[in-house]
Amino acid sequence: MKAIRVLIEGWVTSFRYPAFISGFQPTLPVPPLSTIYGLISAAKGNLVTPDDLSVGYVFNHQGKAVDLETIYELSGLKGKSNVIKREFLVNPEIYLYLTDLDYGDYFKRPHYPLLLGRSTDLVNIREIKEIDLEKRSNVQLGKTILPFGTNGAFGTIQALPTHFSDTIPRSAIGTKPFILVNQFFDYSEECYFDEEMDWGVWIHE
Amino acid sequence: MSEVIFDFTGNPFVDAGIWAISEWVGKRPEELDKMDMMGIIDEIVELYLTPKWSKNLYQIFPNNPITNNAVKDKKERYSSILRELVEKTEFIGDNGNCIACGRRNILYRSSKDKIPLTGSKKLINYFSFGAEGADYCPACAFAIQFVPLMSYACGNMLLLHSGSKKVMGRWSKNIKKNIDVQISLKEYTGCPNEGFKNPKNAIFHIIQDIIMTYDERWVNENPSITFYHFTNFNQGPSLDIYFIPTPVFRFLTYIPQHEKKEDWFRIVRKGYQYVNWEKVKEESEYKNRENKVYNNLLEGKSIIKYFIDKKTKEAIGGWELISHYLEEVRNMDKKRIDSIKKLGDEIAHYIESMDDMKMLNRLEMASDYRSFRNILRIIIKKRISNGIENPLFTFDDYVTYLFPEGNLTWRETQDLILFRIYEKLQPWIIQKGNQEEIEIQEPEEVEEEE
Repeated sequence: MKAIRVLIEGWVTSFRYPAFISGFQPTLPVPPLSTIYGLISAAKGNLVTPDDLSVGYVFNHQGKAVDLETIYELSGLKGKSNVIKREFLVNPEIYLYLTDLDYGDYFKRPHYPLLLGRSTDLVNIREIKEIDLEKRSNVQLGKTILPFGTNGAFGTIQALPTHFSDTIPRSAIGTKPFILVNQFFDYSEECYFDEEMDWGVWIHE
Repeated sequence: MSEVIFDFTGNPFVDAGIWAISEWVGKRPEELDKMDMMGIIDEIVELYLTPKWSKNLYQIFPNNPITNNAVKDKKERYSSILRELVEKTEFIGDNGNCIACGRRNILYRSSKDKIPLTGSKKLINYFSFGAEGADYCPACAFAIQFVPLMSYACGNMLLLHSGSKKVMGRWSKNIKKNIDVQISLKEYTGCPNEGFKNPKNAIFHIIQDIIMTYDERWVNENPSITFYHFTNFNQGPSLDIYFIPTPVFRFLTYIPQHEKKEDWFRIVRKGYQYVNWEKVKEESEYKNRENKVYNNLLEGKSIIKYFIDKKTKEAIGGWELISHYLEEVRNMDKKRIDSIKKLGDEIAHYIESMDDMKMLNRLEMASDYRSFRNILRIIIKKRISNGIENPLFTFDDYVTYLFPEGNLTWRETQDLILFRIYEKLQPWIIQKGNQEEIEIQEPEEVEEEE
């Protein structure tokens, strides 16, 4: 299968657990699908959902730390500042796989600024390449999000949406349990394989 | 539409609540119906109203009818909230906007009095697009009300979450047993509390309890296990998340079958920091001390050095146990393990046959890669001068298996070689009576180099 591989790099990012709204803000170890579809939507300039496009990704980072962050708690028209602890990932890197070749153009000239977890987490595009993904078994798979129940996969399990609506207020859509796999594991079944990178790519269809 | 109310969601609070109801009612989660949900309300509200449980609820649901002093008819108010949630519960559908199950719609939004760590509805910029509260459907909000039944008191509350039905089922059984004792004795002590304040130590205690109590084929289970250590106090909610690496769980399940399983407890004991074992009379004196073995297992760091007692020159647990640890947890190549074992055997043979205890001391005391390599070089020379023609190791063995990353992993190789020498020479060392304390580095010093 032909696909577009986009290499996206940033300095820091933080992917919020949807269930933990107050208190310490931990980061998910890998981005949820909703972040990926948000990123693609920003590049295209229109809402992109799983109905429009199948995606896969491999996510790397070089460490995790905790920051003290000033937040403003709005109550009506008033706001007061507070300090929270927020966990963040350093030097994030996403190898994004897009099955619709037209989407490469959107990343060449993104419509909106490209961000990851927070509005300050600007990223840049390092490479856009058309590649062949072939199906293969017995590959190393991981550093991504996988459907709960994927054979051999282990990691934090978390209920996560696939995308959000563009209504006001936004609604989480497609929420289901996922396994957040932050390392590679040996996957014996068949999946797409990126020969150049020597890893399996799970395409969310 | 299926006629199922509860299925695994991936939300730790909802899933814990479902398992609590399931264990209470004696049915599998997917078999629970509205009658079961209604039937559990009175019993649980009575339990929550007892002083110790009520105190625990302050940490989980501040300002709910049980914990809000302004509410006089606590039982009736809380029961009616729960009954309303059951009445409005629908079967699981194909989709919905509930952020936990995603398969039902919400009726109204919830805040921290019903859902831990969601904050107050007033702080609208905490929620997606300025909504007032978090989106939970009635069934998921109902399930979360039973989180206290699955919480383990450890300073803050400790909540186990796993996709493994075996792990969740066994843990809910353990907790229910504890509550049953409270009920039968009419001595309500609140959430299970075994005096742990250190969550990491409590986590390993809980896992060990599950593994040891139930005779299961855990070896085939590859669960993802996460512990959430949290408090939802009004003044300062907090959260720490601990993920148990699946290989660590698999290794722990291997230990009970091992003939030297008692040695594992010695290894764990060596991990406790700043404990004067000569003065210790009971577990409570050390169970909350920092434990490096547990910490390292959680953080993906090596625990090899805890298998060795350099003071008594003893290998704890035997080669079979440590090599299983190396393969399973450290993901070490089997050929590397075998090469190190072979080298340890050769050096042990040399030390015994040459009666060279000094060389053992030098191997122990080498504090950098260069010195250690030099000692190996001296052993090679002495073996040759004593007519041993076989090389101690080949060049390929050296760079591929013994010190594949050179200075980065040399300490690991040193510890494993010493382990094997101690194991092979233990009777000889005792016979030699060479049990005097040797000069060893402080653990902190050693760790920095790892």
